[in-house]
Amino acid sequence: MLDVNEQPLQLALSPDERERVKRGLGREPSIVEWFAFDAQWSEHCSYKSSRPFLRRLPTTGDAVIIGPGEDSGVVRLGQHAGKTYAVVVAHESHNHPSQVVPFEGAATGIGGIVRDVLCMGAHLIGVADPLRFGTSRESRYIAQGVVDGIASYGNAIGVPNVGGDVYFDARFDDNVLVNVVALGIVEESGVIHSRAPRGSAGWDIVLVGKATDRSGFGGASFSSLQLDAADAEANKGAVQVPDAFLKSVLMRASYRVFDVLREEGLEVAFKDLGAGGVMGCTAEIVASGGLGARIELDKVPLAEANLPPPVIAVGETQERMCWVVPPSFTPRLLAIYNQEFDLPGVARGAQAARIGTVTEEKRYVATHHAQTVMDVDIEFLTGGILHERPYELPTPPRQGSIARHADLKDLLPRVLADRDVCSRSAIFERYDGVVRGTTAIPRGYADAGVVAPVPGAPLGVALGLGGNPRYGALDPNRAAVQAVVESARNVAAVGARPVALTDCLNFGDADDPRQFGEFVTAIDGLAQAATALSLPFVSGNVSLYNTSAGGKAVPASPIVACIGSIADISKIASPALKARGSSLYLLGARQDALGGSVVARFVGGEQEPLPEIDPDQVHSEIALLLDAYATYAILGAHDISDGGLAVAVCEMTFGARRRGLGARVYSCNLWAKGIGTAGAWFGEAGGFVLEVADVAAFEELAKTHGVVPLRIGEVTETACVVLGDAEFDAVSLCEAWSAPLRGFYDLSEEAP
Amino acid sequence: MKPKIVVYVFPGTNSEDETKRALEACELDVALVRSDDKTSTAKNADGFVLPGGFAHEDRVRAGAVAAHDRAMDVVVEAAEKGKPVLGICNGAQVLLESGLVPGTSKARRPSAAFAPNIPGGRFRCVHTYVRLMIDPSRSPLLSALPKAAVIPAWVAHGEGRLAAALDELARIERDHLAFAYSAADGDVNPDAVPNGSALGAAGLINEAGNVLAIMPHPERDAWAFMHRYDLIAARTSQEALRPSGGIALFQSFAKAFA
Amino acid sequence: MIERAFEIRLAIPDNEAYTALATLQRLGVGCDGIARADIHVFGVEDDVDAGELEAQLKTIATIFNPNKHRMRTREEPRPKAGEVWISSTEVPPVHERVTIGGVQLRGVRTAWRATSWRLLDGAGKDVAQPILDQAVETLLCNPAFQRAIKA
Repeated sequence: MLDVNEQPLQLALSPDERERVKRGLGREPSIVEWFAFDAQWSEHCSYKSSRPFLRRLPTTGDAVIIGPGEDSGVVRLGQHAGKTYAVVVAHESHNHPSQVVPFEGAATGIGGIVRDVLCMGAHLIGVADPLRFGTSRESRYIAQGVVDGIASYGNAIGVPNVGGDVYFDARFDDNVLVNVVALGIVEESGVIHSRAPRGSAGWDIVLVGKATDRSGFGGASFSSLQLDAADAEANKGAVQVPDAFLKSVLMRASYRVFDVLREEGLEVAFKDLGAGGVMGCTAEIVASGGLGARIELDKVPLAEANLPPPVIAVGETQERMCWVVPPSFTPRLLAIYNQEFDLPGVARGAQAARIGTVTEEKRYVATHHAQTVMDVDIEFLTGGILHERPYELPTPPRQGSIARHADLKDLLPRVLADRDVCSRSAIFERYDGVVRGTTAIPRGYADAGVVAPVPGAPLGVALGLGGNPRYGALDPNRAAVQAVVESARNVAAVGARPVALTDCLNFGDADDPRQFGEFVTAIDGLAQAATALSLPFVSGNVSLYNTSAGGKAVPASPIVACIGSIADISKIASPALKARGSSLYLLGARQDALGGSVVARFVGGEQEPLPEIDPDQVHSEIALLLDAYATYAILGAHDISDGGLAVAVCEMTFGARRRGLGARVYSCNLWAKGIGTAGAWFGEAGGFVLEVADVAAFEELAKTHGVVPLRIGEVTETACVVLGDAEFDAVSLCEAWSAPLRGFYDLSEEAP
Repeated sequence: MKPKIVVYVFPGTNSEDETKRALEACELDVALVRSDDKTSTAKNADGFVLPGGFAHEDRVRAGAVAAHDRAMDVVVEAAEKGKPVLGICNGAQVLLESGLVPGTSKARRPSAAFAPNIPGGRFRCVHTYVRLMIDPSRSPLLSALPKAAVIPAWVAHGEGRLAAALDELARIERDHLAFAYSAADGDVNPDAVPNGSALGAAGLINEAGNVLAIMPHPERDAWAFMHRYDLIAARTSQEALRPSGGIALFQSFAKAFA
Repeated sequence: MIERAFEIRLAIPDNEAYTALATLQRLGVGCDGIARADIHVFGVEDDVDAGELEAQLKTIATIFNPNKHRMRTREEPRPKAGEVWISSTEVPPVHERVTIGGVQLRGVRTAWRATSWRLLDGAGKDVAQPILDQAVETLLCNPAFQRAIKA
């Protein structure tokens, strides 16, 4: 087949898939049809390799209003002043584009995830960015570009960054991971679905946003391909162009439309344009309603004249969304965008325009002036295909571990300075964390960010993350369990109740049985942990093919976000130490297993098993924590993760510098008897360090939850950290922790 | 009858909602008005506030295009009549670009700027404190504050560094330096300055004292729940939802209409 | 050491220029068209070849995207008649070797940036200097931290 320039068509479809298209249509496809199937049947759009396995994840629960399947998940939050509010959450990746053009790739990642939430009828309340960078010099510049891109977009549209994390590993050198999460708030009665409503045949399909151009042509297929440096120029052309300024106007205009729809009591559909462009969005919005569509490609507003039909149909120009509305509402809709908010004045060619009609007949027909350029059965187009991929499950290390010794005096400063432990403030200070004036706990102050998104209401929303590449490289199944459990712990640590999960599954080649096997076993780990914690997955994304041409795949990277609900915003806290004389407690027994831990880099044991996880025990710990917060039995809590208990205690002290408080932790013989000192102080078995105000009340409460808390120390009034026999000056520890990434933007420094 | 305040919203403004809430908490009647508003009702307002964001995407220069918008014609006229005007972050940049603050130069020409941060012109979001450097009686917007008042706020900008010619800086230091970055205890020292701002300047006032341009955002640290995480201050949700901290600036602004 | 200047302009619509034009017209500055470009001026050692440097600059993702930009080497490191360059008043430091976006520029010791503006009349010709000066004074340059370099 030849393309518009008489060149052989560059498609990602395999020969077998091409045959299936031809057979399904019963004829040779048109050029537009080829590109449409190329996009729609790409891994990114169709989930052809992953769908059967994703069904293993729990997705239902009492609080779930919308689970996976639409642009975002929707979870009930609580009531205030007679209204029921819900949290909207979406989670995605933008890995390949960020590797090729870091700034634009990351910026458009934020742009896309924000639209997914906006299109549910929600107001944006926060974003988060779990990032995985390489360690090479080149990857430092990619990292800077990614952070700049996220900052420039999120800050401009005025959505606070409330969470995120950064890990560095050489295996991300050629495949950066840029995952993004967006949160929104909506009244339950104001949720707008991504599917054409029942009885909407004959309704208008209205495209809103940026004029369509040539950028992002080839995106869906692009993300499903391996990256090869030789294709650098072609790859660059496929990366979309962000426009946060236009988006900020689009958001406000859309908020106005939401208000009007609510006043009119109209049920409509709204969907983001992402992979597959106009075709992908309009096909899915009608197909999911059991209907078809007739699209007039010549009605699509263009940035350049004479754009070929395939580009109009599947190009992925950013900042575009699509409404399905009754024709009687169309003039009002167009007026809001085009006159009241003056889209054409904000960006040349930007506008709302009617481009098609919903049809009863279940076909997808696209015309360009007088010519029909596409006419296919819509279920064939969107029903997706499945690929049975063979897989080999990995064999993780599951043998016993030995007790190792750690010299605290020597190791603590070094562990604090480790690239996966040290302060990331140089990075997240680039992000506006407090715009909108709703942030209750900003990023960097606690294990989860918290916003109080309904002014005047005590309702709060927390966002915690989990997903450690050191664990993924070693044991994808247990790493996935850990990711779920970690994200839930992070939420509980601030006093929020975990209510739902999202995931982004970043793995290597679906074509490589071992790499695909990592994906499969990770899904099982997610399912196991989520079920034990009674947490449903309400949204997510799969990113496969994070492999460079040399076959080097990223460590198995299931990244999980946990949404927490807060009924009373007065009952949250950061982990910073609060009061002299309070006691420090440990939840979660220490273990000798150092597999994947930071300290193993110094004392050995990196390839040993990951610590054991008992999700039922975690469930009890979380319930205890929430009760303890509700009764003011505790003043703060910190999740134990990278660097173990010693690091957790140090971080609690760093936050309390201004109050001149310190910490003393007793000899680990008292709270980790029989465990080597490395496992006791630095082991990353999950758990919490708590600052307890009322010891008697707390211990009583713990009994009722079947949890055995271990008293480990107390809060002191000298700026010191005393761990067993080792005494440290808090200021110099803080400096050791703060220094390494301070030079993140210094071009002459190597990555840590 | 509450005093009527107009908060202007330019294309790209992003802080209008929280600014409105902070003003309303101080018993002011607030209307959000688009910067291209063609009606004449806005000019009857008792006072004006320009919120934070990226008006016109900071094209040409932060605040430069907005300074010539229709909205600023209204604001300049109101300022000349002595009406209170407050500009926060991008709003402060617009006030400097429009020449209203410090107000030492020709009409509608800037004599100072909030320029790209040092080092690197990079956006920074950090908590800060600003200390009142002038006598409260110098300005009707500030007269309700105690001497040397310290107000918490958030820095969230990439262009907050006061820059001006040397003689202008001397004039500013003498007569127009309303707020400087400080530590929590009010200690004004270089370590407290997050952006290399000359004179450690965080806010400037005009000669008449009715126009205040402040770079950090007090409205983003204006409610008890925002300090909640740091100290167990509030014990009930009612306490947590009360205005506090940075609200002091808006309370003082509101007293200008008393 | 000599100075070499490179101009990078947008190949896609320039919204910033468009807004500047609309604002200038509203301010009564007599112009019908506008052109904007980023200028990079480098202090380079004598043996640095401009063509090689331009090729190197085109690989720097933070300043040049082949899908959005076009670059050309300027004959002189200063504006032409009808053009004004606006840059910061800060004096650029001297480096061992300037590095931009991860790319080390051999033989390049200093670097500074400017924005180039040209105003055009209805016939597409450069406006008279006084009009350009008026634009500089009313919008394009804030003398508190910027300087206008004229031809």
